[in-house]
Amino acid sequence: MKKLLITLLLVVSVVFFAQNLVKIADIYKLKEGETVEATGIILAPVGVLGNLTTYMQDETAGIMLYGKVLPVDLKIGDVVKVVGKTKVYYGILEIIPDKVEVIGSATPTAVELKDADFKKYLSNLVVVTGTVSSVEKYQFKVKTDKFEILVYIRKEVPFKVNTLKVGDKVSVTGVMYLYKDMYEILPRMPEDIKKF
Amino acid sequence: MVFRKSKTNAVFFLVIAVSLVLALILSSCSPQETAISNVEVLDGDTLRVSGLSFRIIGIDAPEIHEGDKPIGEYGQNAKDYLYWFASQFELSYEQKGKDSYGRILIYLFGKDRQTGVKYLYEASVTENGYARPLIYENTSVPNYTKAIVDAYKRAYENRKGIFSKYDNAPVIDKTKASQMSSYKGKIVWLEMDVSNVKFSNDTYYIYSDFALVKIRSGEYNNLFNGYNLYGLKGRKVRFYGELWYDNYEGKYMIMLRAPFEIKIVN
Repeated sequence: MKKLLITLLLVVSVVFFAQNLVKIADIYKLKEGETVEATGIILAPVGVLGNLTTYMQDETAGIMLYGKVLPVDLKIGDVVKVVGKTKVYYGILEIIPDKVEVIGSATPTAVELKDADFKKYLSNLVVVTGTVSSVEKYQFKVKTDKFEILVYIRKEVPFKVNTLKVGDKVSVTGVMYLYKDMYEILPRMPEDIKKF
Repeated sequence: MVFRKSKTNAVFFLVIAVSLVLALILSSCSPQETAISNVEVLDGDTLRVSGLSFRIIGIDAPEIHEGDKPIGEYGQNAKDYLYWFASQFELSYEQKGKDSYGRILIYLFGKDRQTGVKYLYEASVTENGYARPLIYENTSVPNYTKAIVDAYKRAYENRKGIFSKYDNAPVIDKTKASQMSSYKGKIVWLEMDVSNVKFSNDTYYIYSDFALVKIRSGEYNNLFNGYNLYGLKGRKVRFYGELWYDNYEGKYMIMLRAPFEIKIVN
C-alpha cells in the first residue's frame, strides 16, 4: 500500500512538472496568469521592439517576453529557458518571467508568410516577399498575390524608409506584431529589409 | 620652461614601465613625425609651441578652466603629468589636420633618451586615470586608438585617477536634482529611470526626466562591443562620470565613455 502511494506520488509530481514545461503553442491554450516554463530562441535584442521587451520562438510558435528580469545583453539566437506568469498585453500574450536562463544558442528561422492567416504567427519571426505598395515616413506596405501587410520601422531600427519606393521588390523579415487590431511586421535591424 | 617636482614620479615611472609592450608596438610606426621642444603645457591635452596651439587627440583631459565644460576633477593632475612627460622624454608628434579653432591636431610621443623606447602620451595619461577617450573616426589611427582604449580599461581595473572614486562617488538621483549645480564638474554616479534611448547625430542619448547621458559613436564603436543601450529603457540605471550641464537640453548630463560606467540597479 505504502509503495503504491509513493509510486502514485511520483507519477503525479512528474506529470505536474512535465505540464509546466510546455511548448509555446500550448501556452496560448492555457488561462491567462498561469505560471509556465518554456524554452525558445530569442528573436530580438531587449528594448529594440518595445521597452523591456523581446520575443522567443520554438518550432510551434512565438511569444512576447516582458520585464526587468530580461538581461540587457540577450542576443538574437540565445536559447533561453524562462519561468513566469502569462499576461495579455493589448491582445498579445506575453510571459512576464521571474527567471531567464541562457542555455545555448541557435539560429531562429523565419516562417514564410503565404496567406493572410497572420494570427497564428503572432510574435513569431516571419518573412514576406512581395512588392512595396505604399511608403510613409515610418512604415510601408508589402503586397503579395494573396495579401498586403504593413511593415513598421521602430525608431530604434536605423533603416530609412525613404530609400524604398512603390513597386520595389522586397523581402522583409521581422516579428509579427498586433497594433490596434492590425497585424504588422516589426523588422529588428536594417538587414531585415532586402531589396532586389 | 618650468617643471614641477612631483612626488608621484615613481608611480608615473611604474605605469610607464607597464606600457612597455605598447611602446614596443609603437616604436615601429609613424613615418611623418616631427620633433618638438620648448613646449608650453596649457592643460592635460593642449600644448603651445612657438605660439601655435596643439590639441593632443584621442583623449579628453578634465578642464582646469571653466568654459563650455566645467572645471573637472584630476585636471591639474593631467596637466602635471604632461609637464612630467615633456621633461622626461624627447617629444615628437604626428599631425592629423587642424580643428575648427585652428589648433593642430596631434598624437604625441615621448622617446626615452637612454633606452630609445617610445611612448604614446595619450595612452600613458589615460592609464593613469587623468584622461578619458575621445575618438573621432577621421583622425583615429587603429593602433593608437586601441592603445588608448586598453589604457582606459586598465585605469578602471586599477581604480586610477578618475576611477579611484568608482566605489564611493556620490549617487545623484532625482531627489537631489535641486542640488545638482553643486556637483557640476564632480565625478558622480548619476542614477536615473531611463525613459528613452535614441540615436541621432552620431550620438546615443539616454534620457530621464531630470538628466541625460550621451555616448558618442567614436566611443561606442571602440569601447562598447555592441552593448545594447536600448535594453536600458524602463530600468533604473547608474552612470559614472563627470557631471556637466547641457545648455541645449537644459539638463545635467554625463558624457559616458565605456560600458563599465553603467550599473543597472533594477
